[in-house]
Amino acid sequence: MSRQQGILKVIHAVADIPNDPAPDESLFDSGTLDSFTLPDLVTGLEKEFDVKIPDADLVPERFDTVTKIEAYLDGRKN
Amino acid sequence: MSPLSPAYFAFAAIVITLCWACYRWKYARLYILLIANGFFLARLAWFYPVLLLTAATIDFLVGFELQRLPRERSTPRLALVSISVILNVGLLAATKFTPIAVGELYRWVFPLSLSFYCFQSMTYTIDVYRGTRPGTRSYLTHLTSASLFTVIVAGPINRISDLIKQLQQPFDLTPTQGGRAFLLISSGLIKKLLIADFLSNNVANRIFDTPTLYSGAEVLIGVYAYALQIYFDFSGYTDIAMGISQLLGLTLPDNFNRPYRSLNLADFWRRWHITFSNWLRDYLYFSLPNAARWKGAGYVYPIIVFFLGGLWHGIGWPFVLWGLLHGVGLTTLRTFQTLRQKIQGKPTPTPWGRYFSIFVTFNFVCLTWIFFRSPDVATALAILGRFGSMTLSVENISLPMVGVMLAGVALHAIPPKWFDRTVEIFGRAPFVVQGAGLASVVLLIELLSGRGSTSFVYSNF
Repeated sequence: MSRQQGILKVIHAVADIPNDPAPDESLFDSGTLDSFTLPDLVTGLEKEFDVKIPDADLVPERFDTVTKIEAYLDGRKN
Repeated sequence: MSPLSPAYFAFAAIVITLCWACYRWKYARLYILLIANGFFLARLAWFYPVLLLTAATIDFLVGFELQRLPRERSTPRLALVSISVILNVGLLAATKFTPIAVGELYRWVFPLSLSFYCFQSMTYTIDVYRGTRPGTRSYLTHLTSASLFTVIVAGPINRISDLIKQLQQPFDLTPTQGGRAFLLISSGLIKKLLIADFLSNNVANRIFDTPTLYSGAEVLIGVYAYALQIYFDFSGYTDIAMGISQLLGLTLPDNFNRPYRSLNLADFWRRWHITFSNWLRDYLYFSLPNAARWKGAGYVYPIIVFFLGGLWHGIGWPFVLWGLLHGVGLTTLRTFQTLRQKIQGKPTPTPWGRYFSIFVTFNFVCLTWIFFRSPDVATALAILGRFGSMTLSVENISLPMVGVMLAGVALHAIPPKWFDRTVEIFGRAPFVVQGAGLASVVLLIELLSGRGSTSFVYSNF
């Protein structure tokens, strides 16, 4: 499973959406994510990709699109 | 200089013309804009340019040092961003508490509240501190962005980094963008002068000033009229600000997306004063302890955030109650959604279910507007008391009032796609047709608008 597919799997687990969001679609503007579901997304990403996301990085800006989440996880892995 | 006055439009036209004349020279354009910002602020009060440019300089220096310090040096970085936050919150508090300390005299002390300036300024230093957006080493660009005259009165609340990025790029204005700008300005004037001012002068003000003179049904119509008035007032202002900024080569974020079609309160805050709710989420909610880890945060923090959001509008019980109603409403919604999901799973909403949700959300928002609009809690309670009277007479509601309200409902329902399509057609039309279209709007406003315009509601915040 590619990284993007893994991210989409986590998003579908926390948000009630019928289709995959576009890579650059704002997940917060579209209502896919909000302040209530962000903790679930973060926990899901940590489990799915076996990474620890520091508290200082827990801001919506980093998780606003699939592309941004992917770039962030790439940075964490490196 | 009110953003609705002929002087403001003449001033904006001069600045736009000068910026167009200097479009090849980036620094000339920046200096023109900075001088224009200073002039606009000085027209409000002589000390505003000094105060705001000093505050912006401190923010620039904080941002400069934050860019220099590596992220590992967390303590000095935290100290630096704290200086910026304390400075801006202090300025905000000063403009909010001055009316309480000196009464009506405050209009001479602080004729413009700095709420929008302070929120916008904090985006820069917090973004650079978090490392989510780049800073700038250009003092001129930062000062110009922070003091931008088109948004300093009532937003939209931009991220300073986005403005900086746009100001550092070469000036660009396509025919479609030009057409969009003129359409936005026209639509803003129509919204404000033909709908918001009419509803304010003829319905909402009368009913909110003396609710006991009206029946329960008339008071309910008055509250609905206020809901439309505040939407058309604020979105009209936003359209004008976006249009003038577009002519200066700056694209601003929109603040509204048909808010009264919201399915629930969380949806409402994705559609109403979007830049404000995004600011609260990004810079306040996620600055609270453990906001993105603690599951209970979603049930507690909205109340804190909206309590403070209420105070941002003004110090007083009506705004506090307005904020608390929204905060408690959001946590109640969360609790309901969580419980329903446990019992029913994820049910597919029926069309009637959607209409019912929109109806309930709209009426809850109207309930909160009663506190927002009332000068004190006693007036708000008097209005609520009129509903309890169960009197149904509507003899004080005339046909033109109903007509303007229905026109408002229809205008609110226009899908954004229709506006985009109109922009495309208008942008491609010959210059003569564009000019004739704009002249028709001015004539229409001149013919139909009533007494002199009132100030924008949000310019008081």
